[in-house]
Amino acid sequence: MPNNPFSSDYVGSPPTQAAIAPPAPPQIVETTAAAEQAVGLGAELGFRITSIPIVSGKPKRVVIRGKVTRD
Amino acid sequence: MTNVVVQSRRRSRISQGDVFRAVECIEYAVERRGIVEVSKIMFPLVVVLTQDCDLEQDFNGRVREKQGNKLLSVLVVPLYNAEHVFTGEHLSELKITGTSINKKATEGKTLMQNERPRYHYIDFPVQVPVVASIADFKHYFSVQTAY
Repeated sequence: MPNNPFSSDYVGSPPTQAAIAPPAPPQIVETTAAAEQAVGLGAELGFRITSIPIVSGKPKRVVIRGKVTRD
Repeated sequence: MTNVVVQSRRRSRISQGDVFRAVECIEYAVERRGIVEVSKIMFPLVVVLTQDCDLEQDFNGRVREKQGNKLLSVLVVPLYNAEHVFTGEHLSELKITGTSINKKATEGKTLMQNERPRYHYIDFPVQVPVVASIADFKHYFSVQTAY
């Protein structure tokens, strides 16, 4: 696909930083020798071992119910 | 290794490739005996697939109050945590069990090299606080532009 937004030479409209802000309280892990050993585990748990907040998470279903009123 | 370029400047309109967080997909809305029930899926991250020219025309039409090119909705595809996809557990909260993918085998390697059309693997730059993610093009939905 020409001008693929995922490709490194994309010239269109890539994601904005503001739109990628983390949705939940972030996981913050400092990069240390010990932490680096946990990179694999961190990835399994859904975060990358760095010193910045990381986003993970799975889609969740929410069901809401309410009473209907009519005029 | 990162395979995507990210720009951090804020734009005034939605663009193709934009990533949004916490986007809802309405599964159904029914009314039974005076009680309305709405079921929705909250996706942590989605990426916009709608053609950028259409998004631009939609935006320009709204600014100039011309409705001929107005979009009703924007096509998006969820971004799943890549590790969850590899284990087949990315939809576990929805009671859906996926097929696991061995990332060290050919099936996983070709996915991460974006040689499998069904998927797109995205490894964000280190300054972007998002883990490696995968779009599964079997999963998509539209979001009202007003949303």
